[in-house]
Amino acid sequence: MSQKSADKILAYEQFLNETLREDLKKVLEARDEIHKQMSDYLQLKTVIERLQETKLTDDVLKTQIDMGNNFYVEAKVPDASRICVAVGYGFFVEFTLDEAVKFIDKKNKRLTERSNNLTNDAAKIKANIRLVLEGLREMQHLPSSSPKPFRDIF
Amino acid sequence: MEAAHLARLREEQDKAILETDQRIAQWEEMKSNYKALQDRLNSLSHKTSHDIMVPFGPCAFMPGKIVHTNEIMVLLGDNWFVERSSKQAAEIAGRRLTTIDKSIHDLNEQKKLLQPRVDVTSELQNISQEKDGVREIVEDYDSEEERIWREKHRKNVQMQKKKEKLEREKREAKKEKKKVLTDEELWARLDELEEIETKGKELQRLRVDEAPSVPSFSQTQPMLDESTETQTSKKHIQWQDNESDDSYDEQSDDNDTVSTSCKNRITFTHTPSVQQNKSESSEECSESTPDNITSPSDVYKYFGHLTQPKSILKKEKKQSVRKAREAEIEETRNRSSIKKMSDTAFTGTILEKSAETLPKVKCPTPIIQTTETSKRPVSKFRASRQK
Repeated sequence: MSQKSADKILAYEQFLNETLREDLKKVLEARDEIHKQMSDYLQLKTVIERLQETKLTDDVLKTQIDMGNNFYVEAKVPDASRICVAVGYGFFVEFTLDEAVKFIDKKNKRLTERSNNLTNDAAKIKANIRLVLEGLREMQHLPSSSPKPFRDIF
Repeated sequence: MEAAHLARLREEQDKAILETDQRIAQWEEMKSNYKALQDRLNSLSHKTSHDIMVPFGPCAFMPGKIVHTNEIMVLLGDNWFVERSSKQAAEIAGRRLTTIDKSIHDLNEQKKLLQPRVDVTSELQNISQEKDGVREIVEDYDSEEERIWREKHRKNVQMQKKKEKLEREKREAKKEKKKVLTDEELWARLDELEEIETKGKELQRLRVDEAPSVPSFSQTQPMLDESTETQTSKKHIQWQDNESDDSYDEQSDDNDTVSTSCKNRITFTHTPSVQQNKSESSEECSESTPDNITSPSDVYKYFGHLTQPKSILKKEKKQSVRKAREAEIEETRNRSSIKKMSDTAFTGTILEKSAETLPKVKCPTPIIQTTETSKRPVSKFRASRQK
């Protein structure tokens, strides 16, 4: 094998490991973050729905709040008909419960879109990785990795 | 060691340290959380209610109030809660803080253990790269060559051993030749040895005669007959005045030649009174019955120390024999003491012992025994049987 092709192989491998794989990692992390947000919003939605169902909003709402490390203290909410919801970038908007549910639905749709985009990105990166791997294999004249033959045990 | 291996080792060690650091950071975070919580709990019960935003998940809240500031539900684990006052809750937080501190301390110890390893590895790396003017000495090792050398060496050793063996055999053969002797020569040699032995014995005897340092030695074996004496080359003690004593005749006539050749002869005469005493005592012994024995009880009075009343057990005879022997020994000892005196008399002063020092035991004990047996009480049973 010539020195040139060896250098090329090295460069490709570097690109594969340091760029493609890092990108994939980042995309997947971002997607996980979005999924977490989505689950948070969905949880909030169920909470609001429960509040609406039980009509607790009419009276003073009693609840236990976490002060950290699972030390709970009792708290009262005098007006449970309004709720502040984070809309993004550190902004909170005061909604009525109905409005909040609508907002959460919309927000969830946006988040799903973004997550799908990220999933597509991840798939593309994976495809690129595959491509580079195959290219490397060809350059080094290695046999294509065929699936291992297996025997049916029955 | 190759640089790549060292690099790999270093990598792993760095990883271990990094992991430890991460865990320490985790614990530190928890610690700060608990500290904040403790402060909050301490300040919580200062007021009966606090205005706060009540959170609903991470992305929503409602304005509200904390009430019952002195009632804290604390999670103990496994979904068990306990209601504590804020002060007690703060104490719980404090206890948890101490355990966290311990964990952090342990992790720091671990890091301290890991650090020197990294240092060693980096040092080795420096050595392998010959950075600090250090050069590793490497000796080539070829297993094939080593094997050949070993074989050669073994052969050499074997040859050497064979040579040695041959030489040894030669030498031994020579010796064997020397060893073969004719019967006559053998006999001659034996005779020679015998002669030397007898001479040696004589010399020995002479020496013993000159200085009988252990006078009681021969008395411990008074029963030695002649044959054994001649066979065994044991030490003998000979008394010069043995001829006068009947009991030592057997020894004296054996060694007559020695005693006559001996020049340490002392002749002295006793004063008449002493001799008289002696003769008296000997008379007494020969008669063996003092006049004042008139009844069997007197026998016990005089000879009670020698004879005990007869027991049914058959020990008596043995005992009496032993006693007789003891008496004998005593007697000879006394005599030897006199002999010693005579030796010391060599220096010029002659010590004369009065007859009182010569004890009555001088009389031969068998006679005592006879008197004893004659007067021994006979049981009715025995008497009837003897009839």
